[in-house]
Amino acid sequence: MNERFLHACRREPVDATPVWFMRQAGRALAEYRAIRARATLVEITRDAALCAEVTLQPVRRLGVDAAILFADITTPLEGIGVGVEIVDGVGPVIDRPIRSLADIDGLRPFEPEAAVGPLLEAIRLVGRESPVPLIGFAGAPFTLASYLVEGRSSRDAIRLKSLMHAEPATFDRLMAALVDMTIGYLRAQVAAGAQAVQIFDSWVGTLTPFDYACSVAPHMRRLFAGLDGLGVPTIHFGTDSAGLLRAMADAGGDVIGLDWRIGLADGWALVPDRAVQGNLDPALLLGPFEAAADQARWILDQAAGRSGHIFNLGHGVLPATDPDDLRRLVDLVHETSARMGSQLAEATR
Amino acid sequence: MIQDAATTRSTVAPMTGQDRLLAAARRQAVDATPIWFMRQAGGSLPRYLTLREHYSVEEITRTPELCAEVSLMPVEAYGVDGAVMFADIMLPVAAMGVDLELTSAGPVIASPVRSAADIERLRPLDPEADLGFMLEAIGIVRSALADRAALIGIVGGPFTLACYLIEGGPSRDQARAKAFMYREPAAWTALMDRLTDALCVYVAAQIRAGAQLIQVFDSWAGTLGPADYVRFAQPYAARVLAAGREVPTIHFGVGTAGILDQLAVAGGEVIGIDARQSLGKAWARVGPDRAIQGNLEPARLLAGWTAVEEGTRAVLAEVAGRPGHIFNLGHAAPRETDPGLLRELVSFVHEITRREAS
Repeated sequence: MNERFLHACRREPVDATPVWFMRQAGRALAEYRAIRARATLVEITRDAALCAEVTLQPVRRLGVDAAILFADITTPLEGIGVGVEIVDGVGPVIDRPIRSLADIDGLRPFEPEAAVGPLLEAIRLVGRESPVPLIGFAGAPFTLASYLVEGRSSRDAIRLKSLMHAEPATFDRLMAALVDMTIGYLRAQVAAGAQAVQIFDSWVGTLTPFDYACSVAPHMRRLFAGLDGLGVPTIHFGTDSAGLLRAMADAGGDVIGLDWRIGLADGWALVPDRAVQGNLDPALLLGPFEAAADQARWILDQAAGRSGHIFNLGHGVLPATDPDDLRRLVDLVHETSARMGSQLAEATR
Repeated sequence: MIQDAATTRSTVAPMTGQDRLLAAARRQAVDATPIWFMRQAGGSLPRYLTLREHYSVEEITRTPELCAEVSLMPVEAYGVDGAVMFADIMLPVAAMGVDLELTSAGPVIASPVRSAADIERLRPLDPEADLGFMLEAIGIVRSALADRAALIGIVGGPFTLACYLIEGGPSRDQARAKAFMYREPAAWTALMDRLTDALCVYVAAQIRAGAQLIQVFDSWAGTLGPADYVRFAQPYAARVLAAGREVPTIHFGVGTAGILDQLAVAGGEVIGIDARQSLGKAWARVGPDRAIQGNLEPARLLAGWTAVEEGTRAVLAEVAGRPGHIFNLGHAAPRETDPGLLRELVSFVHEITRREAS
């Protein structure tokens, strides 16, 4: 087993910087598109063998140092009684958006085996075959709540935020229910064999630091506390989070994920007590490879050989990305960081 | 700090809205904190909605008397200290020969820019000939305002306009625009130069027509990382801001917490910040030689007065009485905002900052 990724999560020295990509299993890979031609995303997550296969595809093709469970952030919601449809080009659409306290009280408790049995089985299958650690994942409660309340992806989550301000007790009840669900979901993933977990707070960047601290951070602290004692590293990632990084780190996470909108060194300076993950602009991979390579080298320069950097994109792989470029990027990160490491070792000898 | 500011303020005689906004932009003492709202013209003001039953947004924009009337409404209805022109940032782009439609979701371009040839077709802008209607509206607003409020002219940042031109419409990640920028750096430079030339002459024309401040909306700048911002956007934003240097300029972007240092280097006497960062920390980063504008979370306007008051107090606490703060939202007011709430907010900010001072 290649454990570079787990060592970096714990800020231990590594032979080369580990790398994986958010949404590495997905439309950029022809072998994924071939499976999608005969199964929907939801069908894949309900078929353990198919889900394991999709999860492993990028490990074989790209040479990444970690696999990430293939699922949608809304996948567990069915288990608490929320109907979700994944619409191509739109994303998840909620059957009946949450509008009232009664809607929240109607949510069921989450039973992992009943709710996501095939997904947990997929984790076990991947564990047997994968040469690299598997990362489990879940959406953060604020991001899930934004889908539940808005009904679908929304640029500014304005309806959820006005609920948060106008009816804080309702908001808290919803967040608490989602924290309970997410703790159960992630603990089950770890029990099935996930060796790290990433919490995606994709919409957290729409919040003010004041509102994050007052209204969201307490729920995030409870979520991370609920993962204590599992013995696996936790990665806490949000987009457009440059103004929130310290507050997010204070809420929890052994590794803080950075999007590309902040320099890696600037971001790390805000959370020097954590490992960091990131942060190449995914759009760079739509340009000539040399542009992406330049920025990858710049990111490694900013990490400056410090222990605790996991290379990733600043957000998910874009569907139009050429997988050969991803493969070249993995090699470049490994080779450049290994060379920097041996130079550093020589310099200090 | 609060005491120092209080001493300064208590010696300040009552000011007109115009003087209050201009003084704050220059970090001079004010009698109370000036306030205006992005997208304050239009929205859900009853008089505007009545007007819209008879005219399209396009007709209002292109008819100087109507455009002036709509731009003046918030001064009368809310008592704001700034009158921002009712104008879309895409106006100069349309005048350069781009076929576009303004929809409620944003501008939609009939044939997006895809090649160097598309860029060649963009005509240079002659503001007096192409956008005379807007310049005339500025003149009308300025005379009608007297000194009740300062007149704010607006332009989009070159990067933001280029994003719309290439994407063809609103986009969350600007991936297509960025791909063009990485793949065809020479064409990108040509496009940005052309847009920047047009924006510079448009800014100068707005100032000649009577604009007393210029706000540059580089709304999408925050989708760039710092290195790319410096290479692909900053030099052009800097030229537009320099073209407005006769008057105070406000430099605004969304999601800029990671590139704020670089954004401030491009210029702007006032740096406008969104609600996603702490005003106090942002001000510390851009430095005490700049004024700051912001940054109430607009979503609070949909949650009622208590939420608005709490958020407003939090913003003012971060300002801590320092001179050089212009109160605004972190982004545009939601269209469905209750006008009564905006009026209450203006009075509240004026009163509480005046009281703090005495």
